[in-house]
Amino acid sequence: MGTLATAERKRLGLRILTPEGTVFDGVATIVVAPSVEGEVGILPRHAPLIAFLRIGETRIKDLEDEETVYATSEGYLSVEEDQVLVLVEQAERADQIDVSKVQQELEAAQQQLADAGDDETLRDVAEAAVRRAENRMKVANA
Amino acid sequence: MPSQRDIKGRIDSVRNTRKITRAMELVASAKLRNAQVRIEKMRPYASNMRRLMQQAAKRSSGLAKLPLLEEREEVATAAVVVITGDRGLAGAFNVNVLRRAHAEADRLRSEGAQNITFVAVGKKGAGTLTFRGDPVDRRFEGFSTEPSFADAQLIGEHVIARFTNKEFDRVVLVYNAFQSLLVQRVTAEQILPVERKGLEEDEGEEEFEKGSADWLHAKALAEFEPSAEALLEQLLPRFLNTSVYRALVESAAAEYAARRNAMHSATDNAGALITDLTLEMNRARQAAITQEILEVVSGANALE
Repeated sequence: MGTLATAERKRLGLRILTPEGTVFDGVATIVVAPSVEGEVGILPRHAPLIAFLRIGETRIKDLEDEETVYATSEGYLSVEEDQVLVLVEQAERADQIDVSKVQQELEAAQQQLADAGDDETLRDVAEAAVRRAENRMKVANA
Repeated sequence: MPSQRDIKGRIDSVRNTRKITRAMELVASAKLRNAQVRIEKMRPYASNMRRLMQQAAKRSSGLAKLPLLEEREEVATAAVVVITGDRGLAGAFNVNVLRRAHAEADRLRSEGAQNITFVAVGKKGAGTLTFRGDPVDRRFEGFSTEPSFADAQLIGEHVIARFTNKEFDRVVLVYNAFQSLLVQRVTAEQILPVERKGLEEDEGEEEFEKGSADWLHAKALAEFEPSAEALLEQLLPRFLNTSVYRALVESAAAEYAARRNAMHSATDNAGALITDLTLEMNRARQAAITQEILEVVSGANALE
């Protein structure tokens, strides 16, 4: 019993979800995410929490202490009974980011921004796209 | 009576058409599968987003003050966002959704909205609305079959900006929901102001006896890094964008399903037409042969 309890305490159920698909669904030992008020680190038995996330990188460690980095955009993180939920608009594993593709997307977004003119909606969306592409670029090159 | 050659030409042309419609049917069913996958992929995000919002709503006191929840007494302008395809050849897909959009516009008018304007998503909708002379506030095109979340954001942010500037007082979304491979259900839902019942839906199930351990647990469920109100305020636009995204991916799947069905019947019809024409051609050939025999026989008789 004792060992089981300790084993359970060491893991977090983690899901990283985006509108375009589930990016991660598994277990982790540590989750570090960029909240708007600074980085938050989640360990097992963390108190329930809901936080805003800003664009940045989310780092997780699996049971073998192996670290994986994800480029994540704005969203939310919630922790409840060792279940961590990361709801973001975009998430991509750092080592799977295709830099040349991101470069293209970045240029397309910058072009869109340049073409937006007075259209505020278009400008906001294009700006967000530029920020996200820049972040992915940064995370991929880190 | 058409000559054999005429009929042969028609058969060839129908055969070519059948080749095209069959190819379109196959393409549509292959792409339909991708579109269905996209719907599946979105589900966990959407349901968790909703749950998070309900949690935040339950704990915030100031629901009334949130701008996106504001029910306006006077509806000066109501907008109908109508999602159509960029292309036709999908049976009644585009017609049905446009008809429903007009029905919604009439309903809003009868409820007191003074002006109705349309936001057209998809080339077909924009074209028809402009042709009919309906006011089109803005058109979004080029992604009807492969919508990304960014496309949904563009539409969402646009209507939110119009709503907060009081240019729109109510926004209704009309789209083809993907029900099954054979059925597309035209759906209309109000997206602005965000309906409160969506925020409270699950309340019944989670109601605990006041003062019980469960109740205390539920109350203390989460500490919010910003306040629950701030969270809700941020969540609402994103929730709206998610609703738009869901409508877009459903509509994309529905479009492929509709096109596949339309092309399937077109292929069947072409087959039936070919059978009829072949029969007619055989008849014509038979008639020609009979004619020739008659001519030969009467020619021979004349010589005797």
